[in-house]
This record gives sequence, structure tokens and C-alpha cells, in this order.
Amino acid sequence: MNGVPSTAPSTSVVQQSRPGSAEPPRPLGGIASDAVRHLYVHLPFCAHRCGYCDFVTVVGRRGQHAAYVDGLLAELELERDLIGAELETVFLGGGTPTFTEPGELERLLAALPGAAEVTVEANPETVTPELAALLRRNGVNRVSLGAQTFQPELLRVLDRVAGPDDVRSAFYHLRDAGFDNISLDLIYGIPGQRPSDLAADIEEALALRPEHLSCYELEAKPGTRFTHAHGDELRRQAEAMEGYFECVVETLVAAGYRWYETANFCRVAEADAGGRDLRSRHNLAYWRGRDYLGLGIGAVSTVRGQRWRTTPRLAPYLAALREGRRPLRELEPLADSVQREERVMLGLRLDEPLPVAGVAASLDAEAIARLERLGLAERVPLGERHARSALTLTHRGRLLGDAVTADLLA
Amino acid sequence: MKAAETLGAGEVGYVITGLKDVSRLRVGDTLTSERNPAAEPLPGYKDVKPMVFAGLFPTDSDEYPDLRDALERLKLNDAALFYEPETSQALGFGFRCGFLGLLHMEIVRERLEREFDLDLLVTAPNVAYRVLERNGEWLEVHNPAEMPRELDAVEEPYVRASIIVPKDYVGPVMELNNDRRGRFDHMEYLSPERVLLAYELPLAEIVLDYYDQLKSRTRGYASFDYDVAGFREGALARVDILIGDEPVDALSMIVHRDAAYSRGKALVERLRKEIPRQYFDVAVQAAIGSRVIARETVKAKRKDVLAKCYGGDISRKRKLLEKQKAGKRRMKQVGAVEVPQEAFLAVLNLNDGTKK
Repeated sequence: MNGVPSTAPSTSVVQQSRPGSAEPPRPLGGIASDAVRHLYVHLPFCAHRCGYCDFVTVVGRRGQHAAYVDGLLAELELERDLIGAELETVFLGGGTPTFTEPGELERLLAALPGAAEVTVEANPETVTPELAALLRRNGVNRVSLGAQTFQPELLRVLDRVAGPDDVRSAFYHLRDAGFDNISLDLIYGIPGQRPSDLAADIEEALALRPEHLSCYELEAKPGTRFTHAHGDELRRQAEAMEGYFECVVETLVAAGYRWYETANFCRVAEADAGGRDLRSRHNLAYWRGRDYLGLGIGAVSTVRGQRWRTTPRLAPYLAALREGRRPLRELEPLADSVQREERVMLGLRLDEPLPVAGVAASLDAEAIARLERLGLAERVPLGERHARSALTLTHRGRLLGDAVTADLLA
Repeated sequence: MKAAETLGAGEVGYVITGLKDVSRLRVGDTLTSERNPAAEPLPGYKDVKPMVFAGLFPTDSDEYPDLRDALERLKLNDAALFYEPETSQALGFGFRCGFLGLLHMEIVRERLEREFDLDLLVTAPNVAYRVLERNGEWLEVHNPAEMPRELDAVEEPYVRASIIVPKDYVGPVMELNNDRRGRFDHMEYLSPERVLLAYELPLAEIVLDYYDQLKSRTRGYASFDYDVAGFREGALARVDILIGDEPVDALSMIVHRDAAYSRGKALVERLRKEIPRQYFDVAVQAAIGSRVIARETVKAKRKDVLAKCYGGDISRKRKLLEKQKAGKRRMKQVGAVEVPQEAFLAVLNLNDGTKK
């Protein structure tokens, strides 16, 4: 089976379906059904650049924060038709969003459309009681705090400015301001990190009782200063790192967190006072293949089978928007088969079963059977209706998710 | 040129025949007339028997027909070249070729690459074996994979080797020959400085890297010459390589029993390094019959997933996935184990064969 849509009924377990029907029906709410409901806003400014980072960042340039916010708002106006009146989620990422001039940050937040979930990424050293209050009064209800590690020498390896105490005080400033949904970012696999360092990091993070944790293995991306300096060391410790991932998952699950995505954990609803679903709604939208609009330099959007990446260069971005033009974009049309592949690739990162309908044409039925025998994947019922109409990975299958996904795709 | 009734000794000419398939003609064939045919072919010509065998495979499997045509054409002016189609689990379609010796093999390979512009993979060569089967019949084996596991005796070809070296290198050369199961015949001083060493050596021991070893141990001063002396019985064993309990035909080898353990061990170690880790532990074993003589384990992988994947990463992630997928497609399936072609090449290819 390969990418050719067919209207012929299929008797195999994986079912053919028309392209484009991969999306489960959206809740009806008086807005255009294909309106984008997820907005990403990129704030690239940073005090300095961390060696391992390969995001689009701009160091310093305090003088340009106002112009940049102007640009974002102009870009939002140009794309207004794409989005609904009410958004589900807004996510401010960076860079260091909280490094943006407070006045400009406030102006931006006030002008953005409201949403059920508004997340801002923050670096610990930037979080003051004033900043926490600013975020709070402007509708932000979730903060993702880049702790990375609590070990001072490892923070130095990562070029991070904050110390372990900064992480803790930032966390408490946010709590004091009323934030009841805080996520902590942790990085493991830092050159020189011992298993005991990792255990200590997890313990320190858990002591803060965050609602959500994102744990990433450090990825030495080619071309970064970091890879240049530490690549050999990272290659040497690669095999030991495999155990780190298992350790992260096991410890957090044992501590009452739900491993709902490959690198993301949230406190289980039963353990939350309000019984809330504490998964990141914004990121879930990516993993469920929803459309999203990205604003700012280097930001990526995916809307109605088109993906585009805005120019990562600040000056041309600002110049275009000053003239009321769209900034330069790199356009990537997503063929139906590509969209299906992405649905599988992203959907299998989650702990919820992936409905087979809609992606069946991209799945290899034989591989599914083989992976089932190996205890890596499972066909499960979707709701009460159809037996084996959804696909999910086992615990071990998730640890090997990339290889398993590569096998599953036809 | 002019038409002639007869051709005598020392004369050169040509005959036009209705023959369609030129490969049926060999140098040394007797030409006779249909009306008055000769009862016997003319004496003095021997059918040359290939002694060294190797698999020739196109690097790109699409080039198989080109290789076939090239061999056909090459054979027109090289009657000694022998070839038959061979299918290898690891290398796909190719030919098992027989050569008179190492030089002949080298020439054929060079000509195929130069004159026919082919990109070739040549497996490590082996010799022809004579096997006495349990049913009392003799069988000639050109490929280790064809060697019966149950047999009464194996004979291998031996050569008479003459090695001429400066006298200072006599020691190292003797050492090499002893390592290679050589039987010392005699030694002669050709001059006060130059010595001729005569040995009998199993052909199998010189087909791999004997010449290189000889050169390197004598700083290039040795000269080496050999001719085939006939078959002799040897304590030989067929060593099979199993990947995840599945024997891999292409990797079978016939070795002297004394060397079986070290050769088997070296090969499985090499394979362990070349086979990527799988979803499960994979045993790589060398075995004689049902007896395992060496074993290595490719440990199951525990993690294979990129941690981070958000909106901006999706295209990059998908491209990585497509790359991973393409890599898997290039894998050869040995039972449930995926083995990259390169792993086979690393142990089979003559070009970088570090096999001892």
C-alpha cells in the first residue's frame, strides 16, 4: 500500500481512507471549522547564546525589542484570516521570552488573542516577582521554566547563567504570583554527567512539585559550538545515555507522573487537586497533527497542508513588516502521504492510541504484526466500536520509538 | 591475406564457421571436417583447470547483465576463465569464477574493471576442494557453502613454491611458511647473498595475503613463484557463521582445523562490530557442524528516539525518519536480523580483507 488513495473497500486491519480525513472532528463552536486554533510566537532575544542551542536567537539588541513586537503584531494582522476568534492555545517560545523588555512583553501579551492555555517559556534568572506578576495579569496561565540541571558544574557546561538556587527561587516567585501550572525543562546526557547527577536532578525537580516536566536528551546538533567542543565526549558516553532515558521514565512514573509523550510528563489527573488534565495542550496540538500558526523570525507554521518557515533574519523580517509585506518564507507543501507519515511519527510519541483510519495507507501491516510479536507495538480498540482500529507502542516500543516508527511506515 | 587450402605449422590464418556461440570454442580445440572427422583430438593440449575461485558481484545489482556480458566477451580470448552464476544471500546475483591462479584472478578483475568499466566486488578467494562423500563418491567443491557437512575426507590443492630471498630474510620467510602449513623441501644458495627456498604449501594458504606478507617480511626483496603440485588430504573443516541462529551461506569458509578457532573468532568479532544493534540480542556464532566454536552478542538497543519534537522540528524529524527508513531498506534480512550490506562487504570483500 503506498500513498494511492482508494475508494475500494479494504478488508485488511488497516483501512484505507480518503486523504485529509486524518483529523478527528473538531468541537463545533461557531467558528470556521478550519480556523487555526494554536498560535506560536517566537521571541528570539537572549542575554547570551548557550553553546548547545540551535534555535533562532538574537543576543542583546535591547533597542530592537519594541520594533520586534511591532513586527509580530503586524504579522498577526496579516494572518488574522487564518485564525479563529478564540484560540485554544498560545505559546511564547524563544530565545528567552522573559528577557524581552517588560514593557514590550506586556504590550505583546495584551495584544495577543486570548486562549484557554497561554504558556510562556522562561529562563530562571529572568523570573522576578515583578515579571511573574506581569505574566499573570496578562492572561498567562502556564510557565515553562528552563531549569536544565541543578548541578552547578553541568550548568556551566551548558553555558547557562542561572544557578540551582535561581531555579528554585524562580519557581517560588511563579507560585507566589498564582501560577498553578508550571513545567520544568530538564536536560540529561550532558558531558560529564554521572548517573548520580541525573538522580539528583530528578529529585530536586520533584521536590518542587511541578505540574509538568519535559526531559530532553542533550542533542549535539551539527554546527553548534557545543558539538565542536564536546562531540567526542558525547559519542563516548552514548551507550551509557541509553540507561539515562530509562531512568528518567521509571523515576518519574514511579513519582506519579504520566509519561504522555516521549519527552514529556505531567502529574496524573488524580494527583491534581482540581483533577486537571495537565498535558501541554499546545504541544499536544503538534503531536495530534493540528494546524498551527507561528509568528516571528524562524517560526514555523503548518496550515491546511502547507508548512512555512519565516526568515530567521531579524532585519529583513522587520523591514518587510514595516512596509506591510509578509516576510520572506520558506514554503514546504505537504503531500497527503507526507501528512500521514507525520501523523504516525508524531502520534506514536503519545501514550494515547493512534487511530488507524486515515493513516492506514502509510502503514505496513506486515511490520505491525512483526512489531506486535516483538512486544513493541499493539493494535488496540478505539473506543467501543472497532477492535484493533488504533495503534499504540508498548513501554519498550516507546523507548525505541524512532526505529519502530521507521519500521511501521510502509 | 589470401585464400589457402591448408595451414601449416607456423602459419596464421582464419576459418569462417557457422558457429554462433563462440564460448564453445577453446584454445587447443582440434579442428576437423565433418566429411572426414578425426577420431581423436590432437594430443598435447590439456584442458586447464581453475584452482582459485572467487565470487564476482557487481557493486550495483543493476549491473548484473553488464557483468554477464563482460564475462562472456572476456572469455572469448581467455579460455581458462571459468564462471557460473552464483546467488548469494548477502551479495545478490553474481558469478563464481575460477582462475588458474592469483595472477590470473588479478588480471581478470583488472580487465573487467578497465575494459568493461564495471564496479566489482570480489570475495575473498578460495581454492577447489575434492571431497570424498559418505557414499564413496568424489565431489569437487568450488564454494565453501557447497561443502557437505558430512564427509569422509577432503583434499586440497598444494603448490610447489620457490622463493628467492637475500639470505638475511631466510628466517622470516621460514616462519611465514611454517605458519601457512608449509612443508620445507630444500634450500639452495644461488650466490653468497641469495637463497632459494623450496616449499610445498597448500594453495589455500597463499591465496589470501601470502604475497603481501612475504613482501613485507622481506622488505620487498623476495620473489615468489609456484606451480600446482596436486591434491592432498588435509584436516579441513567447514566453518559456518550464524547470525541469530541463521547460517549465512556467503560467510562459510573452509579452514584447517588448527586455524578454525582463531579465524572463526576473528570473523564473529568483526561482524559484531558491523551489525547494528537490533530490538533483541543477536548471537553471532562460528560453528563447525553443530559445535559452536566462537560467539559474540550484539546487544539489543535500549533507546532509539529523539527526545525533542515540536512544531519547528517536525520537518527535520521527518527527514531523519525517512533517512532511517531508507537505511532499513538497504538492509539484508538474515532471519529476523537486519544486516547492512556493508557488514558483509567488510568481511567478504577482498579489497579490504584483513582476514588472516
